[in-house]
Amino acid sequence: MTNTTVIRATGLRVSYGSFEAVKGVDLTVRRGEIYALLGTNGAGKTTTLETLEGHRAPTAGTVEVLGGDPADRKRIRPRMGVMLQETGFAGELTTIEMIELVGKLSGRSDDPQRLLEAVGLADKARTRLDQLSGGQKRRVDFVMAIYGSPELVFLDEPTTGLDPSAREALWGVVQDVRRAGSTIVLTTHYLEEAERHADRIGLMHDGVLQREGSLAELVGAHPSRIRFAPFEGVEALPLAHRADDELVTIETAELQDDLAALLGWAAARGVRLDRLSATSSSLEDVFRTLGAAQPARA
Amino acid sequence: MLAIAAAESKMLVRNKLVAFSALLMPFLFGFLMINMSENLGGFAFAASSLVISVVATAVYLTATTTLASRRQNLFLKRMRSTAESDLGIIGGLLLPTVVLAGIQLAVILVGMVVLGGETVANPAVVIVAILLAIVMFVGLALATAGVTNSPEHAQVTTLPVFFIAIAVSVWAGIGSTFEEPGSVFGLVRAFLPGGGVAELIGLGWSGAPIAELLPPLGGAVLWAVIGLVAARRMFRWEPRV
Repeated sequence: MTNTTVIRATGLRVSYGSFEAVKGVDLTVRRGEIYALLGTNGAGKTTTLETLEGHRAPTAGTVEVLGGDPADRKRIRPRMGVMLQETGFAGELTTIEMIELVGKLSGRSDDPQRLLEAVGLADKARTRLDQLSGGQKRRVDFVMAIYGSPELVFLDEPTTGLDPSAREALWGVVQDVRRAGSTIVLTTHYLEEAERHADRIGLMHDGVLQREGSLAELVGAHPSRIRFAPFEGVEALPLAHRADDELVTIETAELQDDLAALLGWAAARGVRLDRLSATSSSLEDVFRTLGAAQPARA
Repeated sequence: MLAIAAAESKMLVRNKLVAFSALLMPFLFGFLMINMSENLGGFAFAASSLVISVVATAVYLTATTTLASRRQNLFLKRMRSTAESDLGIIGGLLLPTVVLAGIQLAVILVGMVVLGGETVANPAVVIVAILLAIVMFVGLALATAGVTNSPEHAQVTTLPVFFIAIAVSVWAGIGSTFEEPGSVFGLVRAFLPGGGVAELIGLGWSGAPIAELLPPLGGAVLWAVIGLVAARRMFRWEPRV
């Protein structure tokens, strides 16, 4: 493992009894990046994340985190913050007591009040956890993960249950933590969050990491679309296309060139392109193809 | 471990129902046993039944319920996200209840000696028996928590061990009144859960030769080991998926 590699999983497989949740994942996370692990429901994201966190033992393959075994708590956990998919609180404790307890047990120190202010919970420091809403508990969970600015932070669906403004505020803090030098690994169901904030994205389906790369790399391999209403003589169009009753669709890797060619062709023939639209490919387009494209499995 | 124990103590005090049952129930048991002792077996009977009752209530029931609750709300998983070891987490969670039970037993037993004008023939045997009872019930609590889905479910899953241990300790008290020393019934009881401890306390309280102590000591050690082995095999850190 080099200085720039924080996580390396090779041939990672994880089973629950006879059910194999992760089926041979190879994954590398570099120091200082935000890596988003996305996927369909039941794709194995959380199992992969929990194995990288040291909560689960791999059935096969190797996992190296911060240069060691993630299950070596004494050595690794002071350098690693974890936000679980579901909160694990003792309701009788106050917010600040819980944060300080987890911080102390993790071997890290920080100012909990400053962190609570950053996520908009400054007035909840002395409130018992069983009196907080679900969204507030998620933010407390987030604070525990970033407490003490660990080198590596795992965030499992950090914004689930948060309102839009709380989501925005939380992402602001995530970016601050990254700027301070932490590496962030997260899962989310909000594709637009991954598009906006992640440096690299891994897409999982059925226990397999099907695609991985930056947003540009992922969507670049996916065709953009030009659409317009059908018209008399559309068959003569010199660009590959498909038509249904509603719209004609041209899928292209060269959106600008093909759009210019289409407009020129239509102008030369006096054709009006009703309901014309041109859209670059998005992460959602790539995501939709996940189930369809099954790579060969090891 | 101490940070978890401190947090667990706060939670114990803040939960009024749990605080009431953990703090006052053992004294209620003590009062009942001392009253019953006048008709059955004297203070030796009261002491043996009392130790089983207090440890079964304050340690076994409380620990099983606490562990099931902490696992159900994923507090255990959260603790395992920290640098604390598994042993440190379990130790921290159970330390307050064990210490509390120890203090309660000390208060009640010393009270019996002082107020009742009693003398304990062999206090070391009584202390060893209490420690073995705590080890056994801690182990059995971890094992029972492994098959307990929620704190409410603990009210059902703890019943078999709890009632068997109480019944055996009462039988030990009655036996000490009506049976000859070294009877076959005493030998059988020594190898039932809680029986060895109850016999050992009775004999330590009233005094007995070493040879008579060996079968109940063997039974008490055996059940302490069974408790720990069962804990290792049955305890779960996370709810079933």
